[in-house]
Amino acid sequence: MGQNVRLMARWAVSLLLIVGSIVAQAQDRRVTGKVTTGTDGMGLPGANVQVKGTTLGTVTNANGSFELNVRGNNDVLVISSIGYVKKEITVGSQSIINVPLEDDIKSLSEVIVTGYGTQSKRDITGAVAIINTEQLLSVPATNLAQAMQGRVAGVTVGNDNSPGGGVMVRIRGFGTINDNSPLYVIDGTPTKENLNTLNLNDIESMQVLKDASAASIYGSRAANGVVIITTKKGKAGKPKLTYDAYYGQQRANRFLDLLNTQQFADLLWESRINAQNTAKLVDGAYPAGTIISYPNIAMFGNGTTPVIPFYANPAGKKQGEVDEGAYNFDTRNLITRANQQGTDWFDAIFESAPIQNHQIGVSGATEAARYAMSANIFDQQGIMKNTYFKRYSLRANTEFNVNKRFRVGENLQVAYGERVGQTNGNQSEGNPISFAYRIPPIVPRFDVNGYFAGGNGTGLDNSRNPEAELFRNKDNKQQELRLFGNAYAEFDILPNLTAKTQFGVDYNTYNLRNYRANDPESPEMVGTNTLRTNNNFGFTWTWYNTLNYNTTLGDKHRINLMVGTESIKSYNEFVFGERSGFAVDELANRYLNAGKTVVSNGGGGREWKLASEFARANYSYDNRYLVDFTIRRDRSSRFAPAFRTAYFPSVSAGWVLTEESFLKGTSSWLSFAKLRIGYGQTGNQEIGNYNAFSTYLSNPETSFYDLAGANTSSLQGYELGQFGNANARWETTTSTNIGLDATFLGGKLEANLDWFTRTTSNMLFPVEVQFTQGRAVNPFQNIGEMSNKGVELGLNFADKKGDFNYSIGGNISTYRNNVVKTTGDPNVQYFGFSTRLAAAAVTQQGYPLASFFGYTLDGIFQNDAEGRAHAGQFVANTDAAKAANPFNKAGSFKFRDINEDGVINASDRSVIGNPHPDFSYGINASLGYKNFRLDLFGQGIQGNEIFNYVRYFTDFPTFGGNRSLRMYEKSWRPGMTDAVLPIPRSNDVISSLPSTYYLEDGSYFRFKNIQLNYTLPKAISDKLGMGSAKVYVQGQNWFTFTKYTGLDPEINLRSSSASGQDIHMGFDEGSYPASRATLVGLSVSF
Amino acid sequence: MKSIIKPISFAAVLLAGLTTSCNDSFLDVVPLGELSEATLRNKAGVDLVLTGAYSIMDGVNVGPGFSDWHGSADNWVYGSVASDDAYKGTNAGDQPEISIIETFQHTPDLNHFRGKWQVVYDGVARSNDVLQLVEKATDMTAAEKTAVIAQARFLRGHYHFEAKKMFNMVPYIDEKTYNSNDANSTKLPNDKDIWPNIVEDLKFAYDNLPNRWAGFPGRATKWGAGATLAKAYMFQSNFTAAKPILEAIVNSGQFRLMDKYHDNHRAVTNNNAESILEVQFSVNDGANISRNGNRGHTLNYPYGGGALTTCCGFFQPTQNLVNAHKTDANGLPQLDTFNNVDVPAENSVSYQGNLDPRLDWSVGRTGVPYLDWGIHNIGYIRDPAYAGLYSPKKQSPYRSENGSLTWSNNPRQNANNYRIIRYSHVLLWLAECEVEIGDLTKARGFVNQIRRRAANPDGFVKFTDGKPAGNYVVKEYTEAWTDKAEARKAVRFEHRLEFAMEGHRYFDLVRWGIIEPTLNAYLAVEETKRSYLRGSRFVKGKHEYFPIPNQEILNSQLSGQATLKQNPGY
Repeated sequence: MGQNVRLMARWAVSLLLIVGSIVAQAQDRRVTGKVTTGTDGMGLPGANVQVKGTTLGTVTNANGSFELNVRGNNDVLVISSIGYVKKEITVGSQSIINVPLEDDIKSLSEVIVTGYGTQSKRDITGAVAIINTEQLLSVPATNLAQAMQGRVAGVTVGNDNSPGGGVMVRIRGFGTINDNSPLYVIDGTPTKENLNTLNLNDIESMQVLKDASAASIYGSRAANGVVIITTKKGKAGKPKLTYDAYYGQQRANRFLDLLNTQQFADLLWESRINAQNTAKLVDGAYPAGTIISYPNIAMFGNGTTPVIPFYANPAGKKQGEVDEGAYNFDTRNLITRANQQGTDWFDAIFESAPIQNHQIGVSGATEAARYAMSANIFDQQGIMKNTYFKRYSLRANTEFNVNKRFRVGENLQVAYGERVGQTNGNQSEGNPISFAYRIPPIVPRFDVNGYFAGGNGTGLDNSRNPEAELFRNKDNKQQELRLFGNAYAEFDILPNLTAKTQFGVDYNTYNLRNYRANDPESPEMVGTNTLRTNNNFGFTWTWYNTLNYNTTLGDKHRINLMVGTESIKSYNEFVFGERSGFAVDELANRYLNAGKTVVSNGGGGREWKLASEFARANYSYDNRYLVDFTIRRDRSSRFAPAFRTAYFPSVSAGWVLTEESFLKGTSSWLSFAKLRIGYGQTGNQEIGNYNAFSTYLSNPETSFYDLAGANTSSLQGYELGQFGNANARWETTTSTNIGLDATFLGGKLEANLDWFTRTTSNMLFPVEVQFTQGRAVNPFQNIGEMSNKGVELGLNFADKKGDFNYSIGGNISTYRNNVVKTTGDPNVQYFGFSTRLAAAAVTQQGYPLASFFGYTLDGIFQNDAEGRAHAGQFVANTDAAKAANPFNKAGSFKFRDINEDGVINASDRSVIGNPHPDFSYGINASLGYKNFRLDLFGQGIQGNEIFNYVRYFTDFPTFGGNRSLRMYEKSWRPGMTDAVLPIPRSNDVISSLPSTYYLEDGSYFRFKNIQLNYTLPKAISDKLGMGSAKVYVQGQNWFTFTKYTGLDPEINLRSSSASGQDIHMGFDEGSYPASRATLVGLSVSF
Repeated sequence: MKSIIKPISFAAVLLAGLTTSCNDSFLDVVPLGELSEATLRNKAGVDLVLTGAYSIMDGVNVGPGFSDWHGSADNWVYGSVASDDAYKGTNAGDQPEISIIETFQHTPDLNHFRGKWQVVYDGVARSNDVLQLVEKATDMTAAEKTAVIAQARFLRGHYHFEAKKMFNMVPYIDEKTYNSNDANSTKLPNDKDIWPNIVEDLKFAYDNLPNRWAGFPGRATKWGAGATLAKAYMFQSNFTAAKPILEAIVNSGQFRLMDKYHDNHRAVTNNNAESILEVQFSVNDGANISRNGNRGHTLNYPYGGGALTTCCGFFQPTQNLVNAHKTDANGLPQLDTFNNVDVPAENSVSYQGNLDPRLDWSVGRTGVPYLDWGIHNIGYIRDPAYAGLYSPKKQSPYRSENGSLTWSNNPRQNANNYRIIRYSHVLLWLAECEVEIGDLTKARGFVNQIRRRAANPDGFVKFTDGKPAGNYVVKEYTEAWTDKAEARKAVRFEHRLEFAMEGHRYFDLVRWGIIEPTLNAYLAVEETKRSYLRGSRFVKGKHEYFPIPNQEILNSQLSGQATLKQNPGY
């Protein structure tokens, strides 16, 4: 049978050839010619020469020459070659036709990986950002997502700056109150997991699918955009060995301006005096002759001024009053000398730290196979002591041509990541950064015995020693092993009909043995050592199949059709155990078996599945009109059967204006212009796995009870754990995009402009169920609506003059977020996280997501009369109440009476600020001269506000930690009209309420990269047996321009890696500062 | 030949993959490690859910964004800090919401109120879950069902009672109203007085529960339900209804006063003969952060200075409370003049005046032994200049019990049960009844029972050499009571001393109708000692009840209209 088929095929081909030659013999003329390159006039081999409207044609030989029979003078030759602009020439009377082909604008002919296929950039009709991976990877980063910051218009990136810390990526604003993170598709396999264990040096290309017309082929997971990543494949040629490395030093950029010990004590004295004598203050001062009482504090005495003691513990003791020999660690008789100058705790916890990366790779291809392998070591030590991230990864990408029609291949990465972060994580009042300002400056780093000093003792408040915290945490490694990859097979059923199947896996394990040694120096000592071991694993497989058909009808109609199916299954399991009472703290003893007392243990599992079918049709007419349709049907296990299925359609069209005759004359300056318009829908299913179910759970903490009165055990109980919502449907994001792509001046200048709207309807929202219904996890309901509108512009200009070449580019983008609807009630408010303050982020109809919420300040009362004239501040609006009220007196904040009822209270809070920027932008420039090149890259955002929550601790009399220089210098005293803070009074719990005081302009511009490269001249590298060699020096984050007073203006979510955080953004709770780094690097190939 | 078969068969597999979509069963998942309601509709399931309903008797099960003490069963914030018994304590900045409550600046948006609301209504919902399940169980006898229903109704009554005394106008949710699958089912207006509903539930429990449950002291009994019912009547000043129940409890012979006052406040004497209704705490029971070990009280332990605990220094007794423990030459309380002169806070052991010995079990004083921890000293206090030198004591564990009756990771979580109602409550409520509707002599007798026990020298706080830590002089009222007003004052004063720092004071002052003058008199003096109290005043007609949580009013909307209404004044 097979034999017969082949015979038949041969017959058919022969027949065609015979017919062809008969037709050809009917022709009268033969023309010859040469196709050359327009730039250097060299012969161009392999170019197609075809008679327009016929199947007649030939290919140029090695010299670029061709011979062809034509039918007459009216025949038109179409000459084309990949990478060159197609040319048409009317034969006329010529018999020798020499054709120079102009270089095509390279970027337009680029083939781009889009959903389940490829497209040339020229043909793209959706909003697709193509990332220059060379630029992207030039700046060291742990995580690919982090590297995207500032590189792509419309993509907002935030990260917590610590090595291996969380990264947030948001595309075109915030589409939902739920999960807003994009889907990553790596070599065709999707994932929403953290990218820390993806080695970025393996990346060949990256695209961001921003609008629905580009992304809806990914349906229910595409509402937040899709990032398509393709890793390096072998290229034709001999095996090529490459080695890339860099090494650098990083250091902290800036610290907070805090007080020394004397300033600290003076401010404390002042605020205690004012608290003890509040009633005697007249216009903020004590009238002559007033008898005032002075504080009596163990640490600083009881005089008119504080006395800095010699010892901090025991508090307030003078030199000679303490027998240092009585120091006893076991009985916790710790002795600490006061640091009379004041400890700089930021200096104590930050240090200069190295970063390095080594990548070795080999790649190549033969007719039968292509291959690329790499090994990578990345090691970033944190600028915060004892923190780091390390990654070891191996990759092998291979593809084999079994025969001309059948290909199989695989892409696989195995990576191990190891991280020690700061204790309690980023953005936490209990992490070392927060303790660095929460610990009083009088506490020295070490006690008299050289052990960590701390707040143990009287009057030192409850901060822990941040340096000790970091030291004790140094072996608490988070270890991840990830296997990510796929295997595929492709078969050309017909030359233009290809079938593909691909099976991808994403397997992760996570282990953390978190040990807490005892901390006797801490005032709130833990008291016992504990170990908690966590183990998780997750396994996701994705299997997809596609059929792809390409055809050209006539020479003007190009059609591409694709259909496919996909199924995904994801399973996840975790287990933890905790014991306490370890005999010794040694690292080798930190295993659960060595603990004395079982504290707790637990475990659980989760799974979800997705089944999908999808199709795409592309049609192009004469390269001028482009249309693209896609549709996907998704069925998700996360919804009840009745609501499980959803369809996500899209349509987009492109019009290549420069193909029109009316623009033919403009080619001298306008090389290419395409107008795009797209419309489509995408979905979101990130609502947890079991939203549809009401479930009863059993939890020792909340459902067990000791009915037997045993004291040391409790009986199992069950409680309703979740209110199910079986009626939840998909969240749908509908987006419209209008864009213009243009290149000017022969490709030197490229511009992309996009305008978009995205509206999420049926927004899934975990509607708070009133507590009379009981407390259980709130179900997601389809009630909300959110919209984003914006404009994005990208510009790139490149040119060269002799030995000098340069490029400059930039992008700028905006989005305007609006919560169109929550429940329909404009008064319904959904709050973000509460801190020591009531939640000060609100999501409310008619305002942007996570707007700042609080009181508005109208300055400070300069005298008592002003205070009394104002509304009653947290007291009744009566003269008597106000006369007795310190907040209606000189030096107090003047809160605005928003509802004008004469009383300041909680009802006077309103939306006071916006964490979303007016716009964000990135700029890069490159200057090359001979073998030197200088690269510059900067990024910034403008017009956002930051809620500087750190000020709660440093600017108000809260807790007993250090204070800001601002509080010391800018607190109100009589006559001080430029004061920014109220009169210091240690019992003031009102002034620190959430208000406009905390808001600051968060705009910044940061030079992220300044890099000088030198490429070894070819003659030298040849002599050394190298293919190429490049060395560079680089400065990262050298300059930052901002008015923000906190540690760093890059403030995003509380936790950049977790979901559900977007209701509380732009809060600085003591964020990790970006480091400034200087690096040297090397890149060679053999 | 071979080379083409492979691709063809491959293509066949692929086409099969393309055309046969996954069938729907692929998409069926069930929650892992959790149960559906259907699996619990039986005797075993009912018992598990009933245990779950008991489990928040401790007031600890608040959701994300709330803190465990918001709903704490002992109401230390609302019952004691808001009253004249205790300061928030610790330092000025920590937990500012509690300072706001303490200084009567509270507003409906405070998390604390919502945390409390959350816990009590979660208790109601859990009780209703039991009542619905028990209906559906087919493997239970009628008697078994009644026993479960009576317990669940007791719990439902108890949780509503907590809501009632905090917020006054609150909705009553029963199992017919409640539907866990319809979030709107419990959006009821708070326009009715729910005392009758509470009484009905408690009465059913009183009539149907056994005297005791062998081996299960944590389960509700007839007497626990009866005492709660009587307490509900006391809160309505319905003495006629309360009195017979209280007498029945006395006559049951099931209860007696412990010989030593302090036995009501230590773990080794949990569930003793005086205890009528007790919250069971357990430690080292596998709970992750020991939420069953009195987490609601976790802030309220001495701060350092050699103390067993190192956190958090909250809930410091007031100078006013300490002064209230002064006795006169006859060993009787100084009902009207107690606050004229302070018991010194520093060097307090040198104080030679007469003191009620209960002082040193309710209050940690400088120089006095603090349980078996050592001598209470200034180091126990986080910020002496802020809230004085006293520490709370009643819920503290013993050092000798550390690790066994305390959580192995932290002694602040411990198994020292909170006694909601004990026999001394019954006696003093009876005394009240007798004052109001009966016989002053009988009233005096009940008060004297309490004082007699307090006077037992075996029960005094002593130094290691056996000498009492203070000049303890407490005696019975020997002179006949003739003036009803004076008698009332004496009974109420005894209440304060007997239950100091136990979270009842504020609610008692409200039900007695004397909270405004009492607290404003207290504040007028105390603000001269604690500067942060300056200017704070109780507002009559407003502060008797706490505000309905704002967010709950918002969340109670039905077609755009809130069903809950705010209390007056907020």
